Amino acid sequence: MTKPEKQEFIALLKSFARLKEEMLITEDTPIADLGLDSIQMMFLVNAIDKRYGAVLPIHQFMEAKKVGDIFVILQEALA
Amino acid sequence: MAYFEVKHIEIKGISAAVPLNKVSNRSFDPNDKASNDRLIDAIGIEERRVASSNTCASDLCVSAANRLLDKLKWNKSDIDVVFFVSQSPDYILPGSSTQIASRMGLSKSCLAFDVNQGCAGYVYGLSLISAFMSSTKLKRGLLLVGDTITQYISSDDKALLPIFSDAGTATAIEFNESASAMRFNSTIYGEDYESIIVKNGGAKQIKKSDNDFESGLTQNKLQLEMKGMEVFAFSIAKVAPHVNELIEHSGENKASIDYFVFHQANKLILQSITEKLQIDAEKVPSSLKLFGNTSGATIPLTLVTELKKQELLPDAKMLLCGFGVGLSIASVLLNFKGIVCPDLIEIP
Repeated sequence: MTKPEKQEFIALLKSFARLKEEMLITEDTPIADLGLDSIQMMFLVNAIDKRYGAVLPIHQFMEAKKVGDIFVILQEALA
Repeated sequence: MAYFEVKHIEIKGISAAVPLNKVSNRSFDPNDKASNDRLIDAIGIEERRVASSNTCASDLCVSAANRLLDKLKWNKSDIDVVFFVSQSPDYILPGSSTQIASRMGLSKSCLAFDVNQGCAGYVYGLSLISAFMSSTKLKRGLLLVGDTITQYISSDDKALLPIFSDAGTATAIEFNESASAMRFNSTIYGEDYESIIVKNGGAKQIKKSDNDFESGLTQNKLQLEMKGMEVFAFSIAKVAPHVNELIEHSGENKASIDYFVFHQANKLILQSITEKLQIDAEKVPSSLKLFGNTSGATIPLTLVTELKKQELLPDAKMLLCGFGVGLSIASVLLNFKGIVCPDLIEIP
């Protein structure tokens, strides 16, 4: 397992986002703004597992409202 | 883990039948080629086989079984037991296995069992028929595993339609005192049963009416529902550790296993499991591209379509693993030797 660093995690998340234009993503960015569809979400969960060694609890992941929420979920999964 | 061994049983033949009707995911959205390409790239499924409304899983299995018995030159009167594993039986009741035995012309003294299992159903079925024949010393049996799961999917369900496909398979089993042991592992996560479900039709929700349609939904309660992300997360988190348990408990090592044949869920799941197990991708055959996810039939269908050479499967050490509905995982380590494998049957 790899301890997550917030900015790197946000960059990973951004690489899966379908943004209409370049935008700054922070921990307060709503998940809905990332434009993730079910295929992107599948790839994102897989990428997080490969990078950090943990499969996110999917119930919590699906209910996350902001980018920072997912980071907290990951930290808890790794704890 | 639930580890157990079954001795004195060997597989003599495996066959498969699919509907002739092909449906391409290239035209899934007729107006968006880029979207179709992206979907196919993610799930690895280009084409699916879809049964007509009057073709059941039992029909596909019977075709596969009749062809196999011909190739093996087994008499139908020699079959002592048949197991039918499916989640698309002909009726809620009676079970399909007795009708199958009758339609095939098997003996009145043939034992017939139905098993309600899907994605892990081939390995579950193999464990049941093998353990049963090993303990009873019955000589010959048939394991029939198949589904026409597309008949349970709403025509509006854009998530499930491009994945699922139909097939029926038959596996001939024989008692043999000198056969090497099969080693099984199974794991269940019954608390997640709603992840893949048909909610109505059983005793829990037996009522069937137009009111089963819920406002805003594109499916009714007699159709398949799947929480795709939950099943995906389950698959990438639980399957590799389960397989490692079986290998370690068996005293084997991955290098000595010739092929790992997994349930064909989708491409990303197969890639993830392969990477986690650190096994060579060439040892992991896949039939996803042309046959999609055929529920419990994926493992024998993959053997028939990807590994058959001149009507035989290779003599090899195999690890077979099914996972999904239940939720459940089942795997087996076994040796293949001289297994007869007729050409794939296509049913008009």
